[in-house]
Amino acid sequence: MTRAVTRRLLVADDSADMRESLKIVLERAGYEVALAPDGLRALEMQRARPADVLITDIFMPERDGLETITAFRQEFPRTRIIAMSGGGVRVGGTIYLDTAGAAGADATLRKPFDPHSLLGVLQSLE
Amino acid sequence: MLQQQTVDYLEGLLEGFVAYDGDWVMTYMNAAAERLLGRRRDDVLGKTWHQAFPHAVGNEVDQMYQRVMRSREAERMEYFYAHYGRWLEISASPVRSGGVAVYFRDISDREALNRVGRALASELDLERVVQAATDAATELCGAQFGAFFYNVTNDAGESYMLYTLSGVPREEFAKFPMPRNTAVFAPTFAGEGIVRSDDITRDARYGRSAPHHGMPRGHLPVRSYLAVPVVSRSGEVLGGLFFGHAETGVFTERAERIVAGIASQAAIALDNARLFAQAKAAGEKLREADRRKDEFLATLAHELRNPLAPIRTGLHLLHISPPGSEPAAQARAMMERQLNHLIRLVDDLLEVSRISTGKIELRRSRLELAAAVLSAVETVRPMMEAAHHRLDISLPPEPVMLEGDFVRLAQVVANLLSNAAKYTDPGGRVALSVRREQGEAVVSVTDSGVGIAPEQLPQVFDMFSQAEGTRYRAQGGLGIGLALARRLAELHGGRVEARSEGAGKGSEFRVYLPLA
Repeated sequence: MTRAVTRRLLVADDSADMRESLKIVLERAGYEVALAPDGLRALEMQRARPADVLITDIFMPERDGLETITAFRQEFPRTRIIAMSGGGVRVGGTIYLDTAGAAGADATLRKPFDPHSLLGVLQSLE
Repeated sequence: MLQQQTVDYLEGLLEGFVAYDGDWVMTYMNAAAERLLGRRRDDVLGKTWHQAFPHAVGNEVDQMYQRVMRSREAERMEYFYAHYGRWLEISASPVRSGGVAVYFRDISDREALNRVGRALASELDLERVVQAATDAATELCGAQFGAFFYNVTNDAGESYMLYTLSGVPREEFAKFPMPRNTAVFAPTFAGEGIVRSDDITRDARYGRSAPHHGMPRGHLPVRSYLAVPVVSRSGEVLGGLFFGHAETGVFTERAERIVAGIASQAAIALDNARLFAQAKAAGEKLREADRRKDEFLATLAHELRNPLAPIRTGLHLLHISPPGSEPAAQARAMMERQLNHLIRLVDDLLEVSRISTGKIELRRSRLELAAAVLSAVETVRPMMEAAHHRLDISLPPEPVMLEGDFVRLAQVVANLLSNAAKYTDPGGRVALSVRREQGEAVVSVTDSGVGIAPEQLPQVFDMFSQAEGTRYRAQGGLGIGLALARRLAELHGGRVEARSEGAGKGSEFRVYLPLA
């Protein structure tokens, strides 16, 4: 699988299995992938070497996904953002995935998702 | 006309008696009627009913008299006579020789008590009950001012005294301390009985207690004094009603009776208010439990989905990777881990169901506590190592023998240890100790972790109560570990305890178990 431009992705998820497996899938699809275990590290890595797309979980230690999305939107307005969540968690009556959209994610994926659909979303964001 | 003996009977009555002939002319009025109606018989005898009492023409009493005169059948009514400001019970009977005989009595006190009783019975708010009782009693007994001192218990179980006032602004009393167990007040607060004095300053009990030796300076002057304990059905003294007047001899036996009546009605109302408050609190607790269950279900959905995501990604990897390749092996290992995680969640869920239906059964045997504890340590070791925690273990030199379920006891300790690991930042310290203390075995797990805020301490062992804002720390947990630990400890006849100096200051969890 080849593509014209290698795009750089940053995957933030507190589950090592999740981010490692996504890394393999995404690298196979020709992307360059960096991994962060939480939102705070993701922001640090982005500052050191910006990615084109952030793929982030919603519930994470340190800085959670919503805060991370908000921070990226302010500091890196051109970075596209894909939010992933198990969904269904209500905080104060709001479903979390919806707020991810409201906080400025370009696309949301509900876990578990078929990696094909993640690749599809990535293509649509190009 | 009447025999002297009959006259003696009539004059001796406490109730009023008046007779009219067939032409409505008043032929007799007894002394009680003079007193109750405030009229002298010389003024009214020989006059007709309407001449003697023009204010009554056409009123309900008049209508009743007219009916009795016509129908020759006796009637009775209770009537608020605005003219006299009294409730009267009036009976009118036909007289054989013609005319009507009327017999009446003052039921104002009874009516007043009924009115207060109805008002109190319909009130479930404690403060309004005591205020209504104080106001009614102060008015009915003729006091210048009255006070209701009553005991309440706050949420923390501490008892303290509050008061309401009637007939005097609160500022008048705000500067005084609460009444203490002095000779004058003690009989009331001990529920011993009513104190009624025409002049309390001349009472033997008065002025004997330091520091004031009587009323404190600036106190409203009290000579006439009346104090009635308010005692619940269970015999508990709820408080006392106190009345004062600057003049002597104000409180009559009647006043005492009325206040005693109000006190017993207030006691019932206070009991009701308390029961109502308890029922309300129980309802709120149920709603809170319900809310937590809802949250748990949402958490559960999330937690069950979470391992599914990498499993699905793993499947995809297996599809696109050659069999036996490094990525395929990685995917398989990862899927197995996530599957095990999923199984643990489902097992936890089954435990929740077993706990809530009371279906946990212990397989008891005689066992050495340290062995169960070490088995728990093995279970959590990978977790401790992953978080780079240091785990210190201290076991007693002598074996501590228990009668219990080895697997379940190990589970209790494992739950406490994994809780400590989760709620402590990487590289923290966790200490585990087993000891004997006052005939009990004590397992203690101390951590250097995030600690527990004082307001959350009482709930840490409740089902689904992951501390607010720390959910991610549970790392895929359902918030049932501590609840399960408590339940299992209780099934063993033991108990659990949580201590923390506060947020950020670490925690200690203890399990107490009976020795074999």
